[in-house]
Amino acid sequence: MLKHIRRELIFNQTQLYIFAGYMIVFWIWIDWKDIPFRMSLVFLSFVLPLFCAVSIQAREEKFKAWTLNCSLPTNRKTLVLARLITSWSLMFAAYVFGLLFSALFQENPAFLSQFLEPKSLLIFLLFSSLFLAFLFSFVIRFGMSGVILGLVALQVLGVITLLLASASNNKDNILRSFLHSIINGVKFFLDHDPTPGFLLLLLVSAAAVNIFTFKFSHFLFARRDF
Amino acid sequence: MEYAVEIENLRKEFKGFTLKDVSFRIPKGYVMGLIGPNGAGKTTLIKMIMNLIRKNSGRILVFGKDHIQHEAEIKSQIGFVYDVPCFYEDLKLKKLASGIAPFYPKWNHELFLGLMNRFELPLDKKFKKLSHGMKMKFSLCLALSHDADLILMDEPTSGLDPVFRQELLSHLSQIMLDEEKTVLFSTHITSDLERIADYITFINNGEILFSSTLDEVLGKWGIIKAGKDLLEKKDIPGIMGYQKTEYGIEILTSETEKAQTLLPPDSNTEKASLEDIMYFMSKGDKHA
Amino acid sequence: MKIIISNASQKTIYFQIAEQIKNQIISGELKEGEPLPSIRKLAQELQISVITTKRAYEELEKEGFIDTVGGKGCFVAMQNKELLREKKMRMVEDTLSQAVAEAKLLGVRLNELKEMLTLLYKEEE
Repeated sequence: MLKHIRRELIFNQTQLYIFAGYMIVFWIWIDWKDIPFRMSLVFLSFVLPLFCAVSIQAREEKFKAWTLNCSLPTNRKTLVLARLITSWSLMFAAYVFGLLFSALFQENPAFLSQFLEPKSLLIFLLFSSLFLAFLFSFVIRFGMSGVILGLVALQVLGVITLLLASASNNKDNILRSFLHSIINGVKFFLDHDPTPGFLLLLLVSAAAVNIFTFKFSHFLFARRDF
Repeated sequence: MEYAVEIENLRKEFKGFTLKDVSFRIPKGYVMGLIGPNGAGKTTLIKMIMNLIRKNSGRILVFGKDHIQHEAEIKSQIGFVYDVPCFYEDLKLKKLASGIAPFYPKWNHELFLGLMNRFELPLDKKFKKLSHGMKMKFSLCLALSHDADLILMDEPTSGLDPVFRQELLSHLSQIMLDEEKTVLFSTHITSDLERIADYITFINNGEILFSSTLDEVLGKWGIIKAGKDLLEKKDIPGIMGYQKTEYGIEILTSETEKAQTLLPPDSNTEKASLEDIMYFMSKGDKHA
Repeated sequence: MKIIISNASQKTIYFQIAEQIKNQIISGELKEGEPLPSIRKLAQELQISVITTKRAYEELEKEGFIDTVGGKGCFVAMQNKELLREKKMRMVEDTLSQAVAEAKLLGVRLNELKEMLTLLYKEEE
């Protein structure tokens, strides 16, 4: 597995530099705009998977490098796992980077203390796992167009939910209550007491989501012809 | 006899093209040439051995093992060269090699550097800056640097100058002194094969039309040139294709000796080259 | 060992190789016990298929001209002096019968032929 991760990092070196730059900009922006920690966490959970799932995949597609990667002494299962592990390694690195950046530059002391809570890491884990599950699978099956497909699919889901709900109520209220329910859902997680039970639940859920992502992505990737 | 590759009833359906029940075997220690016109299925076949393209049905064994169940193990002994070399173009050659080398237990870095030198490939150059010929050479370099027991090459000599082609063929001949090495070489530069191949398999429209030793093909196949009335009068054995010209007819036969006994005195027989064979079997009609 | 293959010849390549080696053994150019290149080495040098060289060597072995020693390679077989002489005689006989046939065709008489033969033989000395 190590040689796979090394391979991914070597082949996508330039992307890593861009990613690093991107992260610096992101945290400077968070600091500059005085964005509260909880918001930053949610942003991070969306931005990181988007970058990790997409950029490595985009490069592979651009150069048709799957011909190379799939011809190496390995199998598709290992390739998918390696990509997932590399993505997570990058996301953790970015998380730690954010932590250090905040420790050095963040003016708001509450920010850092919230950052250091174990609950924060686990929430990040769960939220990004969910978003990653979606993006990773779509992209590995459809390539770059998968990103657009994935985001469109999300929107379609949202619209369907709205339509279903609007069958019985005033439209204005539905939109607001839909958005409210999402925000409430997120708040529930962010506000919930960090009891050991809750933390364990977060960890287990995140693990379960990732296992699903891996299995589903492998299923999709195994069926592609190059 | 041991076989490096065994393909049984391989089938793959695409829109507009099907690989139909392809079966043939490559004995270990020999060079097999895969010939056929463009679009015949050569690339598909090679990619299916490497599991880049998934088969619909059939069996592929490499070194006696199923090519999917033992995928990683088998591939560590395969050197591959595709018709279009696909690498991360913005990377330097040495970077590409450093990402690939750890996957091969028998990677020989000195050999790699030696080959890069011999093929005049600069390690510090980015892949995108190479000409097509150099890209192929790099591909070859990688394939030949890990003591692979099976070398799969899809049109490796296309786009290469004649001098380098000779060099490549010499290098392959050198490798073939080891009877554990096997090569599958698809090409339509048939003259290369006449120099190095032991077996020839001809594929067209997704079907294997014949598979035999080069010896037999060059020894027993021939082109009969005769008057137009020949086909109508006689039943020439082993007709593989024919072509009507303005003044007569040319027939490709796989049984030249037998055919010669039935021929009229004004006919002429010549040995068939692989190029002739490829031409007659792809373009010429087969039946009157 | 010298081998020259002609692609234009009607004889198959393996036959040409076998024939040339045979002749060299009979003529003594290749001595008894002398090692021959491996089939793969020969194939590489002549730029032909190893199956062809294999076939040539198999023919030679069948006819008793060479021996294969497992693991060591192929060697010129110990030739029975009588048999060798006989083979050589047969070769000369073949060539002579060709000359006789030509002569008859052209209407050359026996005594003219004998004279020609004597002159040619003495020329060599």
